[in-house]
Amino acid sequence: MDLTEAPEREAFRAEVRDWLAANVPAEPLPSLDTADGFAAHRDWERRMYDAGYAVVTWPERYGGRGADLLDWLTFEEEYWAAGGPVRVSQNGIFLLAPAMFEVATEAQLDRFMVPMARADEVWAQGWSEPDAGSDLAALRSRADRDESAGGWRLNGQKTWSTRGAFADWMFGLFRTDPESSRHHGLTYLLLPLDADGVTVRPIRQLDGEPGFAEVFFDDVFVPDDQVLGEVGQGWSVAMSTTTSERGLTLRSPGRFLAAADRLLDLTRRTPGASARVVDDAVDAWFDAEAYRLYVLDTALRALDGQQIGAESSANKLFWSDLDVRIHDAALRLLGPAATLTEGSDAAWLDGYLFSLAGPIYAGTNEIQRNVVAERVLGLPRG
Amino acid sequence: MTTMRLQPDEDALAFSVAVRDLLSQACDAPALRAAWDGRDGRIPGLWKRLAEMGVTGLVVPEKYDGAGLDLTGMVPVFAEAGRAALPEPLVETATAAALLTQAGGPTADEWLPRIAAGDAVVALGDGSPALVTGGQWADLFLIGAGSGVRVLTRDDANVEPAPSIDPGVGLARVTATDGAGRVIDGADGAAAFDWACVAVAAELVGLAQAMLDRSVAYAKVREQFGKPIGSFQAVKHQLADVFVATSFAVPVVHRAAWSVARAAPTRSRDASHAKHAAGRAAAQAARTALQVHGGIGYTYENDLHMWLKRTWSLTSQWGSTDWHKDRAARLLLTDEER
Repeated sequence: MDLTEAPEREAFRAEVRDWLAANVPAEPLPSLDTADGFAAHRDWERRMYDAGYAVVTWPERYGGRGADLLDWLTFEEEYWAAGGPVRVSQNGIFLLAPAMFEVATEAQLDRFMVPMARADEVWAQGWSEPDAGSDLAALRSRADRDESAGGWRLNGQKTWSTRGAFADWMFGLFRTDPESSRHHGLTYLLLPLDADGVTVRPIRQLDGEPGFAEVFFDDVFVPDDQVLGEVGQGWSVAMSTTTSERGLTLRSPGRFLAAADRLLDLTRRTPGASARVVDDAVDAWFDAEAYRLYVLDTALRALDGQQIGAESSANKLFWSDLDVRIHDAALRLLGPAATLTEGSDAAWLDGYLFSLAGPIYAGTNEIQRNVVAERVLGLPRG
Repeated sequence: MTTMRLQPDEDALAFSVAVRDLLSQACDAPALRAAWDGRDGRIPGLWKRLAEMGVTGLVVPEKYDGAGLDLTGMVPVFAEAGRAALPEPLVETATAAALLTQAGGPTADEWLPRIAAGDAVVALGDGSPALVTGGQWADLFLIGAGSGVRVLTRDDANVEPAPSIDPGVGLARVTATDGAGRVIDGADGAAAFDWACVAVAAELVGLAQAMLDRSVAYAKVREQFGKPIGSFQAVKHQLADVFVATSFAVPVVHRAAWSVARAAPTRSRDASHAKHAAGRAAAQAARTALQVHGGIGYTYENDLHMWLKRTWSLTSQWGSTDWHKDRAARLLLTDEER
């Protein structure tokens, strides 16, 4: 066992810390779910990109620095400890990009990656449909072959599309084989949300802001060069994305460590805090630390060439529950100030609202428990 | 390439597999049941076999015929001891070896070779009288005394077996004879306590994994309503939750072992975190195992009860799960350092 941090990594940590200290906006940016806030978050991403911090693990030719997973974990710890803004490009750089690097053509990588990293093109997700939520394979939005035009015509509807209200592009799954069912005959498509026939209807979330949208397709044309991977192989391409979503890349430990540290600070400066909340705050810190160690161990084993698989479901169960508990404890410490939407502590309420979505998105926690029980423990399907 | 590693070393892992193989035969369910119903709760001859394999000398320095490993190298063996519900004073004797190694002197010279050879069993306690695990079996007692540790031979102490629902931990009430024994100044009892807490945490993780494995195996074969009960989500989700709790306790235990071995400033906080996380996971595994087994799990005939009771022993000893939470809370909330 050896937990000594390498000198190069310490140097990288110091460099990142210095840059963030000099560049993270002193005042929080306006909400990502408003037009102004969206624009401000795009500007921030460009600043990160220009400094070489937007996508540290990507190859240099796409704006990254070829950093390994440990550097990425280090970067994330520093980013969230410094109070860095939420990443508006998150759907693209953390969910779509891993699938792109897996199956995209050279031409697709050259076309899409740099604008994605600079947040010139912000990506929305196109998974859920009104009748396909937890049961994602029940999706019905169709893509019909248009041989003469060399592409596909989309009809149908997606919903709960995160960032959909302001995003520029969408990635999603569509049924290209009308005779198919379930996981078969689906294809992974990329399309601009300003294409003819696309209607975006923002949906106000729990906080009242349009954080996601429903998106309607009326004979929308998608050319062949916007198919990601093989036609009919969309499910397996998408699963490579959801694996990263649940696993390492969507929710880095740095986020929760920073929140848990702030929670302990809040505990220290709350006179007469109930012993029950203090207990829950310590639990939350314990679990944030456990999450850090678990992900570190996973990353080290991955670097060692070991296969990392269904652990990602266990991961998602752990962090989504942890995030709710961190913010729940904070609101209990705040007492009557808990529901204020302005002022220095309002970030806790924002964080709480956001955390409540965690056990629902990226596959509900009920689905994740089924996955753990069936694929890890080997229990029979129901 | 990084040399960082949060897993125990390959050699230590390989050794623990050999220990698992030995225990799967020498400490199988019939042997355990016989020990529980027997005279002193132990498995005859097993301690000597463990010594011959090198288990009792794992953390004894090489000059005393040990392997000279630190806690990180022994953690996987403790996990195997927990998995097997081993009724032997492994944590106690190994902790004593670590403590005597740190303290040095004539007591170390005398006892460390005997520990490595499997000729001596040591128990640890604090104060007098003390409720001591392994006390029924010990040849030597190391009792916390102020800034040092008091060394008592069996003749220096009054040892009264304490009836426990878990006869496999050899619980005894140990009272020092007035003025008996000698005090080793500079023996770091606090460090030894943290050492033991992490060792017990590793055992608890092993217990949790064993109870999860048993429950999963049972849920696959036990049928109700015409199908295996493991196909019902109400059962699946409970077992998935145990898997999650156990999986996330493992790296916490490994990191605590590192902190103890390196005498890190966060040593006590990390040891408490480990004991708490492992204790909580094992308690959850035990409750779930009993529930999944249903009526048969509530019997003395089924083997499960020995793992349940070991869990109750170890979550209560060496500072309860709650005690460790409180200690960590004090360290965390008064100390700005993460």
